[in-house]
Order: sequence, then C-alpha cells, then structure tokens
Amino acid sequence: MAAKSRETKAPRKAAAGAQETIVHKRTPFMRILTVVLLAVWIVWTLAPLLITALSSFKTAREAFATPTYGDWKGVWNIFRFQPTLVNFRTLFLIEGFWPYIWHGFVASIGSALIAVVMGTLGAYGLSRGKFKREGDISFWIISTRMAPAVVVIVPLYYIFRRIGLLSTLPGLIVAYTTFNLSFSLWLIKGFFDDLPVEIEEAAFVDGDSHWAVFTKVAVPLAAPGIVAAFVLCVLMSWNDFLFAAVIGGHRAKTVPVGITELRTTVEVLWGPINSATIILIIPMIALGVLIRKYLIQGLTMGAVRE
Amino acid sequence: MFGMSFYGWILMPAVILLAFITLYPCFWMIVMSLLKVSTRPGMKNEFVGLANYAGLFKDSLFLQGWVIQGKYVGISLVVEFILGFAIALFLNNLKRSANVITTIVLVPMMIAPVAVGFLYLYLFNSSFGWYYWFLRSIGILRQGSILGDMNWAVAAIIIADVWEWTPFMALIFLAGLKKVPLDQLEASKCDGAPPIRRFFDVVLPNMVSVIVIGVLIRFMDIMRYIDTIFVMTTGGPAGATKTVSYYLFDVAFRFFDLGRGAAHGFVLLLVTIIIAQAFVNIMKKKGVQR
Repeated sequence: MAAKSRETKAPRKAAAGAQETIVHKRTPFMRILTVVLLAVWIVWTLAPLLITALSSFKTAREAFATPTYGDWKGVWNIFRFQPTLVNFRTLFLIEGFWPYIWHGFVASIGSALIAVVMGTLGAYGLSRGKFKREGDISFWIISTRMAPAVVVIVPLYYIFRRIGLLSTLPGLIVAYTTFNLSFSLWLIKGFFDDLPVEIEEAAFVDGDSHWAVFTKVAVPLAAPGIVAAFVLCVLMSWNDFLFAAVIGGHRAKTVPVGITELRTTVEVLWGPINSATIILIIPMIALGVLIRKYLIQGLTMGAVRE
Repeated sequence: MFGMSFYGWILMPAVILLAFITLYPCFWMIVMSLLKVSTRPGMKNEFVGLANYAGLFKDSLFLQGWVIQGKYVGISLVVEFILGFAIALFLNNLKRSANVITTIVLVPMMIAPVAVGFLYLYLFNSSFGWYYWFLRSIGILRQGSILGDMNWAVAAIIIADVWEWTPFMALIFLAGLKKVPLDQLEASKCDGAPPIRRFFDVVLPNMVSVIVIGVLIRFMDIMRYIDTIFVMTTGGPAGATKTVSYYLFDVAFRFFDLGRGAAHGFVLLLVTIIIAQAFVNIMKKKGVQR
C-alpha cells in the first residue's frame, strides 16, 4: 500500500522502490547478504588481476613466494616486494615486443575503420530502404556471427595462402573484418532504427539531398552508437588470438600470439608473461569502461538493451 | 524511386565485401571438405569424395571431443546461468553504488581469452600458484597438480570461463530484471504471494526472451573460442580437455590436413546451428505456454 501511494506522488521513485520487491530488500538480512555476496564476487573478480599486476613488478624470487600450505599470514607475501621494471625491460629489449603491439594496433584500428565506415553506410541503407529480400539479407548478416572462428579460419587460410595474404598485416585486417563487418553493420542498424524519422523528413522538406541528410542529420545523431561499435570492433580484434596465430603468421604477430611464445618447451618466462598480460588487458578495460553504457547492447548485437 | 536506389547504393559495398569474406570462404569450406588438400601451395589437390567425413566418424579423438565439449559447455552454461542470475538479483538491490559495482563486475569480459588463460595458468601452478596454494591450504586438494589431473584440468578451464563470462549473463539478466512490469509485481504483492512465488510467477516469465538470448550467445561463444584451452592445457593432460573445437585446430594447423579440417568444421558448424535453433524453438514453446 505504501508503495502505491508513492507511485502517484513520484513515479520515478516508486519505480526504484518496486524493483526492490523482486528480492524483498527491506529486511536487514537481505541487505547483509547482498553486501557480503557482492563483496565475495568482487574479490573473486579482482584477485587474479591484482596478483598478476603486482607480479609483473616483482623479481622471480618474489613472484614465486607462496608460503607453506595452511600458513594464512603468508598471504601478505602477495604485497611484499620491491617494485622493479626488469620484466618490462626484458619484454621490450630482449623479447622485442614493440612490433607486436604495433601490429595489433594497426590491424585492430584498420579493421574497425573499414567495418564501421562500410557498416554505417550499409546500416543506414538497410534501416531506411525497402528491399525485396530484406529478411534474407538480415538473416545472413546475423548468421555470420554464429560461425565458430575455428571453422572460418580453415577456408580463409587456404584462400589467403593462394592469393598471398598469409602472414601480412592487410591479410590480418581482412580476417578481422570477417567478424567486425557484420557485427558493426547490425549494431549500427539498431541505432538508426531508433532515430525518429521525422527529423530526417524535415530535412528533406528543406531541400537537402539524401547524402546530406545522411551525413548531416542521421550520422551525428547515431554517433554514440557508431563510436561504441568502433570501440567494440577494436576490442574484439586486439583480443583475438586464433586469426593472428594462423593468418598473421610470423610477420604480423600481435600481442596475444607474442605472449604464447614466451612459454617455450624449455622454460616459461613468467615475469615477462605477466607484464605482457597487463599490457594486453589494461587498454581494453579502459575502452570497455568508456562505452559501458552500450556494452550489453553491443555484445548482444542489439538484442538486449539496458 | 530515386530514394530506393540511394539506399541500395550505400548498402552495396558492405554486402559485396561481406559476400567475399563470408560466402566465398563458406563455399570453399564445402569444396575443401571433399578434397585431399595438398600441404604446399601449387601442388594438385585430390578429389576424395566423402572420405574426409567418413574418416571423422572413425576418429576416436573426434568422437571423444564431443563428450568433452558437452561437459565443458554444459557445466559452464549452468554455472554461469545460476551465478549470473544471483548476481543480477543482488545488483538490482543496490541503489547509489550500483553503477560502480556493476562496472567492477564486468571487467573480466573485456580481457583477451589468452590473457585469462595465463592468469589462471599462473594461479593454478603447482609450485607457486596462489589458487593452488589456497586449494591445498583448505584441504580440497591433497597432492598432485591441477592442470595435470584429468578431472581438475576440465574444472580449471570451466573456472576460467565462468570467471570471464558470468558478468555477461549477470548484465543481461539485470537488464531483463529492470524491464519486469511493475504493475504485475504490485498485483502479485497485493495478492499476498510470497517472494518465491512472485519470482516464479512474475519475474521469470517476463525474462524468457532475455534468458534465451543470453544462453544462446554464450553457447555460440563457448563453441567459438579455444584460446583459454590453448594456453592452459593445450588439450591435455592425455586429451582430457581436447574439445571438438580444439581438436579442429590440431587437425587443420598441426597435422595440416586442411581437407579433414574443413569437413570437421562443417560438421561443427551444422551442429552449432541445429542446437541453437532447437533451443530457441523449445524456449519459444515454453514462453507461449506461460
């Protein structure tokens, strides 16, 4: 009853209040349970990252200092160390990691650019135009996301071997476009679908051409979605391992491939591996947080929205 | 009329490029699956008919791979579903701190699967891994190594997947929870239904579509990626983590049998599509019944 009277006064507040009724929030027990379980989950989420991040600044002796089993005070060993950059130095000076970062950067930005430019054009066309077999075109575009990467890669390897794109950056860019293009096209189409057509119609009445309406009205309005699509394309390409390993070969190695090579049959270079892992993940976490608002819409190709 | 051609024109480049990079390889995959593809470029391929497919079904590693993949996909999905739902419910309880906490929770999703593999390879190491130390300290593990044990290794790759992708489920379910109609909740509350009943009668039916999408995308992605397995176990020990997807990588790029790899890939693709379609149909029927 109390919730009902609030609803008439302040609908927004009532909305927040009613959501709590899903899991009876009011009881202190539920409140404590919420805090405790979420705290446990956050520790579980961050612990691997924290341990690896700290280890990347440790010497081998410090990084391998687990205490005897059952010695719980020994957990503090994780935080006991003299910060050193020796692992990063090894990574760049001895293992020569710069080119890998550069390759990953060029391939992911290049492919994301192609995917987003063509995707934006195509998305607007598909969203506004009327086509005979629109359903078929849509199904085809979505279905390309279903194909497991390991499956696509076999014929792609064969084709690239014949036309000489193996082990080159352009080849890697094309390979990434296989998943980026359909992804960005479909995602951006969702953003164009959401725009009210009236604004564009008003521009037509003012005498603007199709192209002018597209570039001056539609694209600026859909800009946040287009940026989100671009960022997600970069993220998926930068993180990719399979295409880089098979198509990129030894002349277009990216960071994920480079890391796996620090683990040889002779030894595992844990120090450099940990620092390379940190270099691999930090920029992507930053990018992900940047487009956090569109993350769910992006990763479900527009099927679920926050 | 003119408008139509403009939209057609700007859709054209994407369609042509997409056809070249998806339909053309797909066509080649089917052709290759009927050939014995030469290991070197320039040499002649030999037509072998359905021999590659026949060979697949005589290959015990291929058949075993399905069992392992089933275990890996099934357990991961169930655990991620339950944990994801629980976290979504709790996140839904938060008010001011919701944004910060949700952002922290979703961090693992942004991390390269290869990096996730190395995080856990390090944590599970039997001489200096902190998770290994923890498991030994609380007495769950008596001896031996995690990634060297046939059962523990499967558990390890599942744990890595759960760590990275439970946030995805949680976030999708959270979006679904926010869309449960308030009037239905209020009505149920006025009827005096206990929270558990309210959950099953009001919340769950309203979330069917979100659940279908979440499980479906997760299913297709577990079939897609082999990166964490490649880093953590390379299919071992003794093939205990050699899923069908992973074995495809072995066949095509370690044994360099591209024809067999194409046949393998084609079967894998068909099965993925059939399972996904079946799942959608079942859920649709259930959704209608409600």
